[in-house]
Amino acid sequence: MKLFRWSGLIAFVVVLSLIIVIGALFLDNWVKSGLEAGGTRVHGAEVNVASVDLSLSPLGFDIRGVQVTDKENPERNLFELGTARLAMDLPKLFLGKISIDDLTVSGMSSGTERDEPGRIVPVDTSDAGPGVGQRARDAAASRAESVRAELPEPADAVEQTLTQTRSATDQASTTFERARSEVGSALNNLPDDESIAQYDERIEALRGRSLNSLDAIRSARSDLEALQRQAVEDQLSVAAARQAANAAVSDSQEALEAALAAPAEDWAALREAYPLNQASAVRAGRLLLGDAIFDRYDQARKYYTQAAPWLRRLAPSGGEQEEAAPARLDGRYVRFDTPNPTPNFLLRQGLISFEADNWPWTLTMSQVTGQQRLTGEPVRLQLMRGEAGDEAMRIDAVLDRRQATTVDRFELIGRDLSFSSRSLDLGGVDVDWAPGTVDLGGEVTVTGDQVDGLIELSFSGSEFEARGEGRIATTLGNALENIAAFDIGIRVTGDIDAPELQLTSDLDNQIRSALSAALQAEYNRWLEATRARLDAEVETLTAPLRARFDEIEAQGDAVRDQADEFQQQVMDRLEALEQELLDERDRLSNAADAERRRAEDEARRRAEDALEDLKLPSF
Amino acid sequence: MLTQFLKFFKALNSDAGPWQLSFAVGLALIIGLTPLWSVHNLLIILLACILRVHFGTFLVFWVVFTGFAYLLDPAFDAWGYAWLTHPGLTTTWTSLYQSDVWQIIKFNHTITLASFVVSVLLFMPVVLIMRYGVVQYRARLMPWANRLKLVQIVKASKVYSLYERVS
Repeated sequence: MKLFRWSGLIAFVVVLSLIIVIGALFLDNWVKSGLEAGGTRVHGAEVNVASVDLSLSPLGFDIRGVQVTDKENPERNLFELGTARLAMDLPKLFLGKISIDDLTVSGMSSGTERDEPGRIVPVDTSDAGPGVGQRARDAAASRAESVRAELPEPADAVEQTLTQTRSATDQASTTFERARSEVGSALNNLPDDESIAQYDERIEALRGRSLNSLDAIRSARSDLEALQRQAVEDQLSVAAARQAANAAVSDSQEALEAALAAPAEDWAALREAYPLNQASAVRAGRLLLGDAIFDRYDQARKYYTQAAPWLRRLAPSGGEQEEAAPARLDGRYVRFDTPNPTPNFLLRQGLISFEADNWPWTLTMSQVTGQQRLTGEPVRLQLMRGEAGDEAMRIDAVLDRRQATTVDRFELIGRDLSFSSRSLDLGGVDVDWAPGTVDLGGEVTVTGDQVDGLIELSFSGSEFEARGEGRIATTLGNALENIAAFDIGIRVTGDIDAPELQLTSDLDNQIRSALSAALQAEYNRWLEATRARLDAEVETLTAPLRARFDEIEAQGDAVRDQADEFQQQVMDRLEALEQELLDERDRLSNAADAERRRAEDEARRRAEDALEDLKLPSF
Repeated sequence: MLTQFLKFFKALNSDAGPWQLSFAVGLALIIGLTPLWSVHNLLIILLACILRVHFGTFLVFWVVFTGFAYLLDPAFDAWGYAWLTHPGLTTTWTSLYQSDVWQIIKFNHTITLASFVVSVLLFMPVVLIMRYGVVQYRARLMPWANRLKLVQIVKASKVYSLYERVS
């Protein structure tokens, strides 16, 4: 038999030849034309492609000389791309795996001049709301407002701070009211002048009695004791009144002292709330840097957190593993050991270079995959501004996901970076700041969901110029003239979603030595104003307290005077009278005893004499 | 598919070469028993197109053997798994696994491996048996059948004319 079906063989050869011929001769031009036509229609302005080269092994393309016309300025390119090259491993594609050996996008730049003006495709334009510039101005105004709110007005600060003083004066007022009431009732309980006069009259009456016999003395003492009992009762009232008055005055004094001490506590709290220390240096640093750097950090963090799920999606956990039990007819794949396992996605080497800010930028990538356990190597990314070896800025990222805990490390190096000039409001003085150049260095590590890093910025060649007139502006201007270089460190710690940012800086040292003088002067002025305001407020609160305390103290003195008078007028005289009665009683008793002994002696003598006269006979 | 069946029967009863019919069945055996979306089946289809085999027979038996494959897949899976996990063959499989080409051929897929091996082993026996059957059919059965009254009536009918036109 004839072996071949010639019709089929010829058809196969023809089709294969057509594919080869079309692929080799026409496909590149068709794709080139398609890119130009499609790009022009989508973009609305002429898009040119210099050449397209498609290849089957390795599967990929090499596109060169892409120019996208700027619609606003057709003589220039909005975007130009030198080379875009992709080379993929074709056999891996049949295994469902994307393995990119080389991805190169280089020579990107914008605003380049075209050889001839690009064609513009008319398109409808619509209003897209407020522009970027307006939004930036609104944001700047909002930021300036927040900066102005850093230190409050003195009156507001005093109003917010005088809590202890107000509480203490309220407490003192209550204590004074109670003391006044207690002292008043004590005064009412004291013996009045009429009572003392009655005592005086009765004492004089007792003094006027004739004490010529013991009976008269006994009678006088009996009356005296009755008078003393009444006086003792009154004396107890006097003692109670004196104690009440003393206690009231003492309490009032303590309350007054507490009220007078409270402003010092409030002042300390105010100084603590609005200090001129590291924290205020941070505020000054934030004032200088603006919120832009923090916004940039937030943006970087947002990019990172947005990219993280994609990296995780590229990484089936555990890499290649035996598949689950098969459904019927599906069969099973049996895996074997291989020294070079291929991830589902792998970009072995990537290069993207472009020009921006008049600098060449280069982004290189290597071993980009989510299945790092298969490659055994972490993902490495490098973003560089400038030429290699003389780079102005470089960010090296190592995304290590080989272990259970992911470790992503970012190293930043920058040299002679420039910040745009800006106007600051320092203590009410407008200051123009030309930041000069900045050297940057640091490292940030993200372990799991924890971030830890330090970025240091060294500013040099800074120039400050304070605008406006007045002592503060002059002082601030003179002080700021001395600040040409300073360092600011930004430490990032904590959870990646809500990190804690700390500014460490020798700017505070600079502030202490130079800018500090101006800030200190401004701060002192604010402190003085606030202190004066606080003193006035305290005086308003405490002056009535002092007057009322003096009044209470006078009342206490009156109670004590009256008690002393009672003591002198009544009790002392009663004691003296009692002593006199005792003395008189003793005198009369002694006289009676002497008379009795004399009478006894006389009687004894007479008896002896009578016995003598009897002359009785002796036996 | 009915048309292909008719073409097959016409070829069977015509002077088409027995080798054309039997090799068509052999190729259909491979493409029918093995999973369709396998690289080697591209080669089988290419061979069916450029070799002078009876294409209708190839299509008919492709369907027939696909039906068998549904019944045999559990056995293929078990056999393939046993071969792939056999300790004595591990070195061989591992060395093949290092090549992307072999992975693309899906040698490490249980059903693909077993069905391919079985179909290749059965290829020549099936071809030879099929050829023998065609020759014997034409030598013995077909002349006897043509002499039957019933067949002659059928061939004289309009239905057969229609069959002749369609096929």
